[in-house]
Amino acid sequence: MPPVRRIFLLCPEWDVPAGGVRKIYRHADVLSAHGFNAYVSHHTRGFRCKWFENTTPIVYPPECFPRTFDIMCMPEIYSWDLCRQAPGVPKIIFNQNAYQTFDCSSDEAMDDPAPYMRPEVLGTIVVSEDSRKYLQYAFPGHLLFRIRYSIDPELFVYEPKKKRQIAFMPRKLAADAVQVLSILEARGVTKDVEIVKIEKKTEAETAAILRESQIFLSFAMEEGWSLPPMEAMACGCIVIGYDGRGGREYFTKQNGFPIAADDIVGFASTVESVLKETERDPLAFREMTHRASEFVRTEYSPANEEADIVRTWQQILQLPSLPPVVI
Amino acid sequence: MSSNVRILVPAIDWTRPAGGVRKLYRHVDVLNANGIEALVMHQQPGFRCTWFENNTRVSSFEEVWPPRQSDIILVPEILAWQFVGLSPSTPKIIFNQNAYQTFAWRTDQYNVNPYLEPDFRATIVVSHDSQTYLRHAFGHQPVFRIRYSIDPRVFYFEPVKKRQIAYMPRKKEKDAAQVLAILKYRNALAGYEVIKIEDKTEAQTAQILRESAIFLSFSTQEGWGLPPMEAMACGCLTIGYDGRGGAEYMKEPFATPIPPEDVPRFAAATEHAMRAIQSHPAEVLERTRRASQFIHDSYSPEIEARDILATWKQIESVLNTPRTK
Repeated sequence: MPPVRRIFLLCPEWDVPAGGVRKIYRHADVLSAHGFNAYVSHHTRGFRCKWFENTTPIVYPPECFPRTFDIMCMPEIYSWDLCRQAPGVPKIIFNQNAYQTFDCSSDEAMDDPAPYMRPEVLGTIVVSEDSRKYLQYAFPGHLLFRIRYSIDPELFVYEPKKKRQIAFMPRKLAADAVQVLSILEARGVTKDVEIVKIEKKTEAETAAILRESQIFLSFAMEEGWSLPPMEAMACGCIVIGYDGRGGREYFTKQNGFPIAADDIVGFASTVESVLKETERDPLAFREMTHRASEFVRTEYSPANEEADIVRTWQQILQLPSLPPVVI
Repeated sequence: MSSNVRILVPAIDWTRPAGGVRKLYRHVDVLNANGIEALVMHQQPGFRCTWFENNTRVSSFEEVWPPRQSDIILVPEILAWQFVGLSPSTPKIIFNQNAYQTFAWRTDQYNVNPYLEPDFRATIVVSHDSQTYLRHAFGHQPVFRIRYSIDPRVFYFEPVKKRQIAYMPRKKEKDAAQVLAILKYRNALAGYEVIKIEDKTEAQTAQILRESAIFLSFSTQEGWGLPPMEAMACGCLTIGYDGRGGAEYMKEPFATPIPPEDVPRFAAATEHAMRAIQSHPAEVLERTRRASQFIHDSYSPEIEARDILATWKQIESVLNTPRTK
């Protein structure tokens, strides 16, 4: 059998929920389903993420050692180290958050040039226009591909029947969440409202909370994309808060209530207005939430995500700088 | 203010530079200089901040407590939660130097909201932004605003600059790392030295600012944000986040404010400033001179002292009005 070019998606071995890891698995699934020889590459034999169901093809050492015509696809934070490994092997960076581009860089000479400036690194895949602009500015001339994320349309479905409930995720900007909720409490406007913190939940549990919540508060910050507000929109929540910059493509004034970063008073007063309005008319904003759900479920469908991933890798595999497949 | 009134100002025994503590000392100095008895009440007897020059009246909780009948407590916002229930007959004023810290020190043990307690009679803030925040959160309570000042003998305009970029990494350190890394990899920092101002005395900080051409502000959610103001006073081209509290002064044409989290724009503005220094030095000099003048004119020690005294006059009338919970 002639040799085939393999794509190794290098992946951290975190067995705790992490959206980025989930997306690396998804990437491998899509490529594999479309006939690419793509694998998640783990270092520890037998390791597989178990917090979500998957049958993703995985390779371990020594199978994951690349030949010069294979392609290593590296997560952005580890690219500083991985770009120095396997010299001669072409590399792609999967940058799921441009704001983390430099997280694992150092002032050491070994980090010069940056991965994005090395000839072996053929390009970078990003997940938002914001990330694209960031990297375009930081590394002019570096080849960039953009894919859309999707949400699971079976889980994140529009639910018009809502509880008087506000959901939020405290992972980032927990201090802002404390401020907004404390102001609302001090003003006595959340007395009859259930506040639900979504933390350490499975995807299905998260979706169930979002489906029954009237309002979702987003405390996103410097995100590549920001999935939670999109999931909340899909479920029909009135979404209020920060777009994390990466999310501004969908978290618009038409689809929700975006708040400028750090504007605590604007945030709290918007929540208060929405609470008052929905108390007066429980169907207020129904049109907006329905339209927003339709929009994110259509634009960020699994089919669109698949098409983006496949098109991106077809383009990568046609790059003239890619070494030929040889024995 | 009647002559037997004494204002007690509790302060944490921090040895590291902290602008907020510096301003408590300043407040006490202004009051004493104008015939109103006041003292900083530290946690340990004998403690005094030494990272800036002062001969402020300082005592300790142990030496002062319990308060006299005519005392008033001016409690910093972060300590206010712990003062709920302490000496309820003593009127308390909250010195909220950062509205965004209002709830930061609320704990399970100290969870009664001081702003809603009857012995907490008013709040002093240091920016319009903080005033808006607190008026929104606790509408009923008087909120007075004073202006901060900088010491013009320390933070003064210096026209001769090194090709040097200064910044303080205390907040948004990750954004600083991103901006500087982008500039480095774009090869825009050639010929420039980057100085991180950390654990420096006030005099050392001022010296670095006076010799720096550019100051990058990584402020976030500030009551005021002193460092960019100090940098502008010293003649730095000041670029970055205004921390909301600083929006009053960190504005065009005196400075280049950047929306929070907009890292690429921040880096681009810094590059633009470096190019301007190279290509239009006279214009840059004029711009920084005017910015320094604006800061010194608007935020002088005299204005600060006037604000403090006027505020206490208003507080006196608040205290003469009965209040119920």
